[in-house]
Amino acid sequence: MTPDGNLSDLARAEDAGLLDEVRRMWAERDPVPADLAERVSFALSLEDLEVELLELERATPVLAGHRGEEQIRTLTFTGDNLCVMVSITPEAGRLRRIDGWIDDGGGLDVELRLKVGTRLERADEQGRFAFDGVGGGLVQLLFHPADGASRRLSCTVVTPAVQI
Amino acid sequence: MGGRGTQGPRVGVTEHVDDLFVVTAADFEAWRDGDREALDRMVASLTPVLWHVVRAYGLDRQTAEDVVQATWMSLVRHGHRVEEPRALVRWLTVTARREAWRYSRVRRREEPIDDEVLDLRTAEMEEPESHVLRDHRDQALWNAVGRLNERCRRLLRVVAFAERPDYARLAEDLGMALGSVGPTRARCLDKLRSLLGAGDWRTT
Repeated sequence: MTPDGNLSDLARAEDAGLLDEVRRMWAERDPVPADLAERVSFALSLEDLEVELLELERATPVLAGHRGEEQIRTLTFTGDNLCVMVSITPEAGRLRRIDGWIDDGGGLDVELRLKVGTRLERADEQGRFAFDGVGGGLVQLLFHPADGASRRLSCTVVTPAVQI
Repeated sequence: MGGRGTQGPRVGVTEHVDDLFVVTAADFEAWRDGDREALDRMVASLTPVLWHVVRAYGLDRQTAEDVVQATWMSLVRHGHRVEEPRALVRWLTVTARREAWRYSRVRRREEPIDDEVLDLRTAEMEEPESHVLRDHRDQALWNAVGRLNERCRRLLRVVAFAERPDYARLAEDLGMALGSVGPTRARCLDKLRSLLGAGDWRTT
């Protein structure tokens, strides 16, 4: 028994046709971001997925500055156990500097995942950390539990993959 | 993952080989057998579906992106719970809907906005300036969808992307209960049709 079992084939085909139109309309009016699948694949290539995923709470848009220079972007990530603010500053040679601050996150290990390779820093007592000379592209930040950190994490906490 | 030894026919339903659901079912099996690239193929083919499911819940684009990422992470963590590969799309969309609902609840506390209104408005604003409406008919459909009630607009968008036309038959194959989705869908489609003005939009 199916709920629409008494529909004629004709009505069924008509419904399918209308739904096709609806699908085309939404695909055109509200298209999926072009790089979303790529970012998902990047995030899924994490070796350990027993992690807590933060949410990108706020992001300043990517805009050209006064003289066509890139502006500083700030991103805020939040989750049940961690809140992190990150600013991305353009450096010479198309590189970027990432400065971050973890709320009450002194001493946590911070990992920067890049398309190729990964870099590790430890947040200072105030929860600040920085990576300079970072190439553009997909990145992801991971916050690992660490002995002596001001906050105990039960698992690694990660940001979504973002383009910088 | 791996070690399941299901090297038999990769798809059970050969007559719908080009069907998204069957292709992804095959990729899902391959991934569980240890083929890492099969996961990337699934992500590439189903991320647009999940995007529209999540956006149908009125989340802004940024939050929708996070929800889609969270949904895929959930699959990698809990994918072993999906027993029947052909039920993968359903599992993913149900997970995405649950996540979307969770995120939208958090958001609503901060921004008490009628998110369905916001949803349509956002889509409109994000339209590229150079975009010329293809024709009268597109505009008529857009207007009609905009005048549907929230529930129908959401349901038709989800159904348009996430359910195959013979979904009812598939559900029967899998012994799944469809609940009231079928009749509600029919009512919403009828409503849309009447808003479109009894068919003359089709001939323009």
